[in-house]
Amino acid sequence: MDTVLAGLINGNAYALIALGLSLVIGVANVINFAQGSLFAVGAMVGWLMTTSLGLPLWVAVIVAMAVTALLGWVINELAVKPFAGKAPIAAVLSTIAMMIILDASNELIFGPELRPMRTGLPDVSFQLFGLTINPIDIVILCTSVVLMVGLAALLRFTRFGRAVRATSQDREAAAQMGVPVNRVQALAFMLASSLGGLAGVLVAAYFTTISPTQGFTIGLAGIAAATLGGLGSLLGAVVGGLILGVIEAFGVSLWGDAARQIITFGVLLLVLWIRPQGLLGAKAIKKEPLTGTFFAAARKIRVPWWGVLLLVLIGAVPMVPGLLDGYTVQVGIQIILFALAALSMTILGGQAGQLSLGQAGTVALGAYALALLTKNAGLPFLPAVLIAGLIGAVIMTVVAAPSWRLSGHYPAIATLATGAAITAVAANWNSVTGGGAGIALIPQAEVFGIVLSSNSARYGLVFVVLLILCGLVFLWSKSHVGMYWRAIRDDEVAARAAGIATPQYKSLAFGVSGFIAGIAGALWAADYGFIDPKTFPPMMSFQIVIVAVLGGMLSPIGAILGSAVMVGGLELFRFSASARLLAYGLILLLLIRFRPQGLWTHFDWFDRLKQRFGRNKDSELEGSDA
Amino acid sequence: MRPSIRKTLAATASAVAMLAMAACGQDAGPAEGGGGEDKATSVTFGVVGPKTGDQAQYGEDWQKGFDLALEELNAEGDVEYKIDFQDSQGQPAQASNIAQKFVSDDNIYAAMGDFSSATSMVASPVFQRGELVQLGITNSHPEFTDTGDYIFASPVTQAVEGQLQADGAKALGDKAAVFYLNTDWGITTWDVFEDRAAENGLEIVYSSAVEEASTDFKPLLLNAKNAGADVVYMLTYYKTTSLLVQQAGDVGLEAEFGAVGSNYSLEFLELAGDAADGVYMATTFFPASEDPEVKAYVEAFTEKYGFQPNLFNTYAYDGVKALAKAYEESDGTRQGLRDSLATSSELPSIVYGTYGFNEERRIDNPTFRWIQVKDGEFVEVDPLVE
Repeated sequence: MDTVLAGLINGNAYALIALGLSLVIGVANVINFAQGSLFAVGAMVGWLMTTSLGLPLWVAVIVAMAVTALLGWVINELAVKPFAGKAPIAAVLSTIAMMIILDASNELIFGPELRPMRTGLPDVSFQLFGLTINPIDIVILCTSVVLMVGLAALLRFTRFGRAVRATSQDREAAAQMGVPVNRVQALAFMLASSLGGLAGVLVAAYFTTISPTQGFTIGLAGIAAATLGGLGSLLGAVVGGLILGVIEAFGVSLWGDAARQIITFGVLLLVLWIRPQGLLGAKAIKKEPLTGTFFAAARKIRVPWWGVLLLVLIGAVPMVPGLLDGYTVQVGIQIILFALAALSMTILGGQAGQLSLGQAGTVALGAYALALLTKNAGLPFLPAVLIAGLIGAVIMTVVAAPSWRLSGHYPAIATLATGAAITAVAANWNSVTGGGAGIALIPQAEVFGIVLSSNSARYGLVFVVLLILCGLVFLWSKSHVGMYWRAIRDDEVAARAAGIATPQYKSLAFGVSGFIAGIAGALWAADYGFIDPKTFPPMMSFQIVIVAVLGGMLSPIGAILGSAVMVGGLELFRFSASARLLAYGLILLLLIRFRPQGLWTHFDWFDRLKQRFGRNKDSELEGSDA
Repeated sequence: MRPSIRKTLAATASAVAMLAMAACGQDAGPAEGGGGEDKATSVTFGVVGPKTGDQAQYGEDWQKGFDLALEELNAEGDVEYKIDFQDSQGQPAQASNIAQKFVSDDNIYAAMGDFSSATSMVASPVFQRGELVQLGITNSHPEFTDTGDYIFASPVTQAVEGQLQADGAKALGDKAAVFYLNTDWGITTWDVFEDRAAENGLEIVYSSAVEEASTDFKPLLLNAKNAGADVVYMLTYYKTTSLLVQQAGDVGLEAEFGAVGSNYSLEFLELAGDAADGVYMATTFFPASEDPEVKAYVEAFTEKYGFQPNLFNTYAYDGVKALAKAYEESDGTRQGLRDSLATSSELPSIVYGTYGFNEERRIDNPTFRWIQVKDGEFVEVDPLVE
């Protein structure tokens, strides 16, 4: 009983975050990844008010809600509204950009250190089942219940509520019926954001310690809770939060704290498999975040044979020993490793129209496979790399299988959960993966008896692998498999009607993608010589998506270009030290805003057709990019 | 290209010097005079560490220690010392890039960092291949220096600390609940702790790894309570430790509390508040010490920043001072700095007193002091372990 209570108290926090997320999904059909950052902003403002200035808690709550509501308006203006009616993936990516920007600025403004939060609440507490119940526990519980009821009433009985519901059902129709959809969305966004701020203050008061960097983890748990309850359902958000809290408490109590992530994302995956729309969700959200909207609109740039040769020659420059300094070569290796991971994304997104937010998990899988095979089993390097790729392929296919019948935001969340769960297993399986300690002293790459230890040799290895895989991807996309994939991407129903076994081809795409990601991970592990679960954080999955999308998903060259810009660019920003992350987020936001189909795609063609067909019929265009 | 040419030259030079010494017999002194006259007057040490991200606060702690050390060094000597602190976000990928950057940069004479051993050890092969000293100032992983002879670590290994903690726990009670960070550091310390407990008769009734990012530990503490623990030992950093002691109060867990020495910091007192009272810890660094060097350091630090230094501040301060000393004793090359760091027995340190590195490029058993939090302050107590 005491464990249940402890879980409920913690689940309250998730419920508050999930409420805001669900509201935004309902109105704008966007998973707002910046919700966790708003939480952190709220927490810091709350700290400033109560602990620094000594004001009472209710003042802190009001100020934090005002600040985050304002930020919510900004997020909507910059990152969501411009993409209304377009591919939701663009809005999702730009909220990820906002998340990076907000987290970085929060850290720049307040400094990174942890600090205590003094609430000034009366020091009365009582005992229940041996647990001390503090005033803040009661405040949080009441707040989330009151909020849920209040919001539900607001949506059901007021004009604003009707407008919100109409907008979320059919944006275009609502607009034609005279609903000011933009204003409704802005208001709903501000409301949801202020809920994030409120959650920040209250949860900070609950844990009594806060830091500006804690938004990310809590944001992910909030997404898990919202999905568990059913995206877009307010009651579901609260119920999902509380259930997640209780299950976590029991799981952690049984298997220890390190199992927390496995439990969170494992539960999420189970729910998605058994009851895809969540516990209380309606089956209303139909729009695929990726398929048929984003990539068909752009056309691949054809590169003549001499262009390819030139690119290969340029890429081969760092292989000349001693020509470039070690640092530049090292950055080159980083760029290629990321390009390989992005290449695996290209297969999924550009060819089969699927989105994975958990690609770091597959990369981790390959890395661990190589480390164990070469270090413990004593296998030679090249066979180990191949096996690592195969393991990636098998696991990706198996894990992806139950996701086929998901639609809307759910497949993306399923991949997010899968990726996070894989890393969480690596953090827990002490006897095999070394748990949090990781695996050290992984043997260096050795090809035909030669240890590749010099910078140029290490670069040469990853470069040659990149060439081989790019060649394979090119061949695949030329083959009938590639054609079927693109048919599924452009219109899954039509593809099925034309007799394509869509699930099989989708799972083939996941398998091929897993193979490439696994090989990327294997090279990663051999190059680092040390891996642990933190080498492949959830943030890395986002980076992989970003790299792939920015480069353009239609061609392997896009993955390389994206990686050169984002990974190489990140190195340039090293000069501006702590403001670097901020700049990174800003550039990302701008690129998504003005070049969403990626750098390496034709777009004059796209613009011409867009004018002719109107902005919402992108899916009708023929993506003849073979 | 330049570094490799210089390396070849240096190698040739040292070979010639050795031949010359061999020819002259025993009376030629150490290579001190070698390049002495053209030693650089501006020396930069690279630092790879977290300035943003989850561990950013520890990077800030370092920065304060570095700044004070630089101020003092530059006020007294004719060599101008500088720090090039590059942000790794605590991420291995970044750390190995930065390491490569330092290796390629002729102005860097030695490097320190990263904060966690896991991240540092990804960078270590790069430093070793590039023949640039990497001094781990907060790295206590037992295998940390195994990568090669350019890798040094100033903290004591967890083998030493883990044993001490287990003996301390035994002195506080018979049934222990242990929480340890799920990191290389936490797990290794816990392994040593567990082995030692089997020897000294301490019964471990409950143990669990905890994540650095977690904030809710009540389910675990309830388990510890139900298992009847009379001593709780925390192999965690201050962020996690303060949450543990606070929530232990909430679940009504009554026991003696002990924690590793790195919790010895004002941040712990501030974060944990009243819940910190009674917590024991063992540390090599105690600011209230009567030792004149420690006193002078604590005074200077407090004057500059307005509060007392913690262990991470002091590790950073010591790191700069040790590298500067090694540079002074060297011939002004990277190689020379490595050699004098390895052989010198006169390295200055606030944490340990003057020391030298052993064969494994680590520090032998130093003296620990036991302290306890009483009424919101650290007080030295009788040692729990002799």
